[in-house]
Amino acid sequence: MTALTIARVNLLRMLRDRTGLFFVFLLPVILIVVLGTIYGGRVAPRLGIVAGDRGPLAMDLEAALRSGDLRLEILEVPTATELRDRVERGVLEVGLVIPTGYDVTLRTGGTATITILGQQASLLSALREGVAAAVAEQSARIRAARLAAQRGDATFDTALITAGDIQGTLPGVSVTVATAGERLFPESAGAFTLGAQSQLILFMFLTSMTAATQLILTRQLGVSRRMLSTPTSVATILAGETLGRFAVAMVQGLFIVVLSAAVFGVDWGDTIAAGLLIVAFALVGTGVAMVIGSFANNADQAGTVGVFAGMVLGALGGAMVPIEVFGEPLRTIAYITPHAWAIAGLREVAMRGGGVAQVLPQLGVLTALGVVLLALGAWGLRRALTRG
Amino acid sequence: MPTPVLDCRDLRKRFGSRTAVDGVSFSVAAGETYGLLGPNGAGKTTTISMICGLLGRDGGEVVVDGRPIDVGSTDAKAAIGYVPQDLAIYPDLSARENLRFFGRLQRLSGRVLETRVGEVLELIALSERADDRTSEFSGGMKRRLNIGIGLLHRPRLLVLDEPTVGVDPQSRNAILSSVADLGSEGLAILYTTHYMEEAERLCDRIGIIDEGRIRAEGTRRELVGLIGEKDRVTLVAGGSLGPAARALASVERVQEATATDGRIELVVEEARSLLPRILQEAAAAGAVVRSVEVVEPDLEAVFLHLTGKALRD
Ligand SMILES: Nc1ncnc2c1ncn2[C@@H]1O[C@H](COP(=O)(O)OP(=O)(O)OP(=O)(O)O)[C@@H](O)[C@H]1O
Ligand SMILES: [Mg+2]
Repeated sequence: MTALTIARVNLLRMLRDRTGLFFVFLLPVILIVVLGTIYGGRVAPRLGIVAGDRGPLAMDLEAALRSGDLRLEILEVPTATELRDRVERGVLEVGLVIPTGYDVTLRTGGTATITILGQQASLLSALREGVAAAVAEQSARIRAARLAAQRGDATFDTALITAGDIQGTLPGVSVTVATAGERLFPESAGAFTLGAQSQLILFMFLTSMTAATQLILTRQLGVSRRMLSTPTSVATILAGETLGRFAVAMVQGLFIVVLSAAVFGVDWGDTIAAGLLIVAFALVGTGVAMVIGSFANNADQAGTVGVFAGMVLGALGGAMVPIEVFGEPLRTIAYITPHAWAIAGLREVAMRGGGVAQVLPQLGVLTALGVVLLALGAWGLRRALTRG
Repeated sequence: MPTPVLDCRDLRKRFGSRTAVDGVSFSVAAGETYGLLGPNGAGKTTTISMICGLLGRDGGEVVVDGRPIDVGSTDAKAAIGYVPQDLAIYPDLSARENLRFFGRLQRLSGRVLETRVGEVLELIALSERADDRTSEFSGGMKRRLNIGIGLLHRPRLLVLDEPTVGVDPQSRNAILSSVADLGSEGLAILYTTHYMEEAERLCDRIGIIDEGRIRAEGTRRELVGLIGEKDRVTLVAGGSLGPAARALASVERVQEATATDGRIELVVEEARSLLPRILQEAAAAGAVVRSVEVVEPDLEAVFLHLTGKALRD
């Protein structure tokens, strides 16, 4: 019970710290909104075009896309293979391939196939409509031109120029929509979901790091020594301090989960699986906090080390920019961070409907890491407490 | 002598190659205030840390209230109220919250805890500021709270490690008189200081500690007696000074009495107890005493004598 008293005082102190409150409660909300907006596609998606044909009709379609109301940022990509790769890595939201011989095929009355690649279904369907509109407009003119040319009134080119307004139904172009590689962010991933998971992990960890500083201050204040002068065993003090930091991480975690679900409609998926992942990650954060808090020499040092660790691990582990954006070998290296494991687990649960069974690897890695770190931290704190 | 509340024997502690405490033994009885007087680095805090079970020791034994104390002897620690040298309070909590927290660690709860917190706040004169954050307190208020926390659970032994360091004279006086009150209520008090005046004023017995060893121990009087110095008494007086001086010289324990220009200088043993007698004799011999000055040799002199160095640098 004494351990609970110590844990409670830790929580109380966290709630007393005004700057701390900003970082714990306000900043995550701000970032979820900002990132949700970005991932939500309100910023122009990037469209890569492989112009396999340089004929007038191909150029015409490209121009129509550029000037259309799709508000796309259009980039030329040399080959279809490269386009696919970039879309898979998330560097481009969508890709469009205008096939070789587009011009000739259309002039000779054939059907040309345009391919659209993308990861996010929502984005794809929006784009498909835009491209389809541009294509429909072009095909209407092509059809009219064909008609005119067949009648022998004019050449195809002159007919095309004059046929701009004629409406018809004969399609000359078909549009194929394809999902590049494995579908990474399925349709169910709402605008805020992607941001919320990385925010959760980033902030749970950073908040744990401020708890490390608190631990140092507690030691420096002599409060922990004073605790030892009361009928409280070293084990109880260790348990209390650990539990306190764990509670701080969990408060941060639950705050983001509940708020994002209630206000931004983020779906975290299976409650038990997501809950276990959060608990496991809180263990890791607590463990790192205890290690830093026990071994750092002063609060400044602990603060610097903690924030640095939080930022570097967060960036490397995909808590700032999605890991999918990384190339190899960074994408593999990312998995030395607990962040990458936690985010992977949370995504599995939230976006692919995974349950506890599907995230056992992530749970295992995080729990094992947490236990090792906690043991190391407890050992260090015990040493710091009884050394004098 | 009744069984002492604190009994420590042959305490030893080394930090690497440095011996911080080198065979310290002493005991403190109920109602007694024992002072550990020594300069910086003498080993006072290290000794106290071992007594309170905060620090493992390399040798020796500590018994408090009949129970041995070690880092792991959780229950026995309830008999000790420890007031650390450096403030050990949470700055972001109020005085009341600090008291409640440590009270709970002392296994108080519910109404008993609340009552006791109120009493202690009253005792340390912080009732009015009880709900302010301690970071907003003055140095003296923080010190008082620091002491109050040590008293919450009504310990048998109160251990105060230099409780007046960095405190203004007024707060210091307040602290000293409340410690004196606690001593008279039957608490055994272990008080460390490097202020000679505090040790002289508060302590029934004093251990002079230097380089991890107790060099001498006893009442102030006994310690001063060690160096064989006598008290000096000066009577500023009129009337027949010569006869008065001769009369006084024959009083037992008066070693010298000389009449000079308007005053009589005496060298005596234990001026305090002898003073009424001296005044009586002087009056009887026809001297009219206007004022008396007593100079007793102080612990500073004793310390210098024992260690060859000054108490404070
Ligand atoms: N944790 C420690 N590690 C190494 N040396 C220590 C440690 N604690 C104390 N010492 C050393 O032990 C000696 C005694 O220190 P201690 O703190 O007991 O002195 P003190 O009498 O309380 O002094 P002060 O009046 O300055 O508080 C000093 O030389 C000190 O440097
Ligand atoms: Mg000290």
